[in-house]
Amino acid sequence: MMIVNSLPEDLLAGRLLLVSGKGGVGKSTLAAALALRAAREKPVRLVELGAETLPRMFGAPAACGGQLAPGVEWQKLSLERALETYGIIKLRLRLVYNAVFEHRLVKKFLQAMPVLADLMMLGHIAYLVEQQPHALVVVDGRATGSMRQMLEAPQAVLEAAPPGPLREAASWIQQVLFERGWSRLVLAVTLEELPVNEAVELYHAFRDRLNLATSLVTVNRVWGEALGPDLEQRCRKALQEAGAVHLDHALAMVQARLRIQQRHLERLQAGVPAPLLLLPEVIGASGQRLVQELAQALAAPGVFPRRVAS
Amino acid sequence: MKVQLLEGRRLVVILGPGGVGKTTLAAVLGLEAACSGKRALVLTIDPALRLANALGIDRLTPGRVKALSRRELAAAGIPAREKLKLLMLDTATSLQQAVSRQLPPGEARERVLRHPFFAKLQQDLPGVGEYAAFEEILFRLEQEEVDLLVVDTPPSNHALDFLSAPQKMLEVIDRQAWRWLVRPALVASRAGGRLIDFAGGYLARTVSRFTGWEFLEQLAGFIDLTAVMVGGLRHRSEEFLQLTRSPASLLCLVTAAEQGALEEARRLQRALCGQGWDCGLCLVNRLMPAPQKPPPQEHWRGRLQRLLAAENQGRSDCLERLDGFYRLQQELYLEQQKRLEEFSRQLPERCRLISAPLLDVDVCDLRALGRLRREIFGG
Repeated sequence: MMIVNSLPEDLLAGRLLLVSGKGGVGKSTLAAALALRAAREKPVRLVELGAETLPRMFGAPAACGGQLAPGVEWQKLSLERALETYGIIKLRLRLVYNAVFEHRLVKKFLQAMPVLADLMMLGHIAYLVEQQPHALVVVDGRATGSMRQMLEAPQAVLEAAPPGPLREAASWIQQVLFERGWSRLVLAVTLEELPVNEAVELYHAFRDRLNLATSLVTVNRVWGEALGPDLEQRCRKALQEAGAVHLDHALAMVQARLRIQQRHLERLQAGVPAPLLLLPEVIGASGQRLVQELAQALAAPGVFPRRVAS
Repeated sequence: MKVQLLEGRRLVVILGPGGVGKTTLAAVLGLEAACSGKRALVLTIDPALRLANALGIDRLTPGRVKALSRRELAAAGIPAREKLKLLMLDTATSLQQAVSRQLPPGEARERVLRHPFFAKLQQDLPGVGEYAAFEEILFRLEQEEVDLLVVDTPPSNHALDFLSAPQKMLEVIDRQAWRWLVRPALVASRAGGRLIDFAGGYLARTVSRFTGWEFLEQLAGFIDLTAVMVGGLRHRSEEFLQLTRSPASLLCLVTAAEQGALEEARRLQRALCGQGWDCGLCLVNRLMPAPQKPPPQEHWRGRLQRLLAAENQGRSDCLERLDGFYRLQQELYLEQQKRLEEFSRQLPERCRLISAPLLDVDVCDLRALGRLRREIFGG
């Protein structure tokens, strides 16, 4: 739909920010930058599912949790951790929980049933969200397909499981995450064929199946604007006449990619009726520096590409 | 140099991080096989519709083999000596066929296929997709008309899941977890709700406070029904493991040259190695070509300025933008080479590293795929 120049106003006003997108488009970096940006306004709980890549992006050592930047608390959410919170609430007694859920066989059982694992993880997120009305929980989500599977877990349980505690849990999670208007979904894309396709797919899947509208699509690693076809042709002619072969080669290479990016941007605009925020390719920065630069670009995009003096 | 990577292989498994072009390269390897006279089948197990996408085909019907004839390939400039077959895995169909191969026709088979858990299994359990895939792979390789099977897997963490699915499957079905947790539910439900086995009963009772008793009961019924399949499953799982570790299989790690992708590829390669698999090939996709050396300034710059001024009626930022493009190419190229050098230093020697260039078109049709094949393999 429309290209915006800054974050939509109510994006950080919710309690939960879910970040997803195709693998490799810079999801985690974006989640980190969003967390950093949001921390200017309220306490942020940055949740990572299973992996431990975020601490490195803040230049901190990996641990099981802790403060990564002022106002940004990080935690890794594992199945064990989710089970513990949820199991203890449900069973009320830690002793019983330990005896049963620490049991090797029970663990195996849960690992073999991914729907249950997904449900427990979401349960933990819902718990965090409900417990902390003034904070923003930012979830560095999984890649599209498996994120979808996870968010649809409560529904799957409601459809298949017989009445009982599992269904109750699923319906509570469903309420907290999807029915109270607390959640915002951010999709990350790069301007390539497959990431754009998946964003379009995911946008519709979430809207239709979970009634969850995408609040923002961030377009990562934008190089800049292509020269118009006329100008390009005139330039190439001049370059060839003048014998500036290196500029001609660079122009051909970069223009070709820029035109492709432009085409995908148009497809994205046609396929996803959500605000689009263009973020620059950042040259010369990685890790912590990259996150900081992107957090700044989220406030004001600046120039494309963005160069960082080393 | 013609790369003889596919000689003597029956299976190529494509692994790698998300978003690096695995599906595209799976298709390219399929084309290369077809060009060297092999009857190849490219199988994708990714739930997204990427294979069709990468080939510029409207749709692939899940579960149905589509063949691209030599003529169709030739029309796209590809000198194929055999046709190329494509298949998108349909978990439901593969699973049904697998069950049908394991269980003789009759009431037991029908009861498994109709059980509500069976339908749910196909939709919701990632492991099941992988299981269905390895069943399909073995089945296709047993068919006479396939020389080489190229398998495109889901992104990296899942790729490891994919290869180890048989092992996990064995652990899960073998595990007494089922017997301990689930048997008591079954026994109790048959004995009208009374628990007989004390120890298992305690675990089951507590877990049921959490999942509900009915859920365990249903599950127990399903496990009981499928128990007869365990022997067959074990046999197939072992067969698949052996195949992927034998020289007939080539594990091909695909990555892009970006930092994140390279790191993930390295992690994946180590994890595979640690679990007894050998990556024979690493393909780095979408390399930015080297910028060309500028001729001496005085030969072209003044002239270019004049030409541009004349062409563009006084718009002055044109040369600046052109310089900017050159600078961008230089910067992207330098960063990429540094990263690649470090990456290749850490690869084991027996893993061969080859690269595929970034093309000036998006690779999403047969013609572009053919071009990419030529760039990688020549000929």
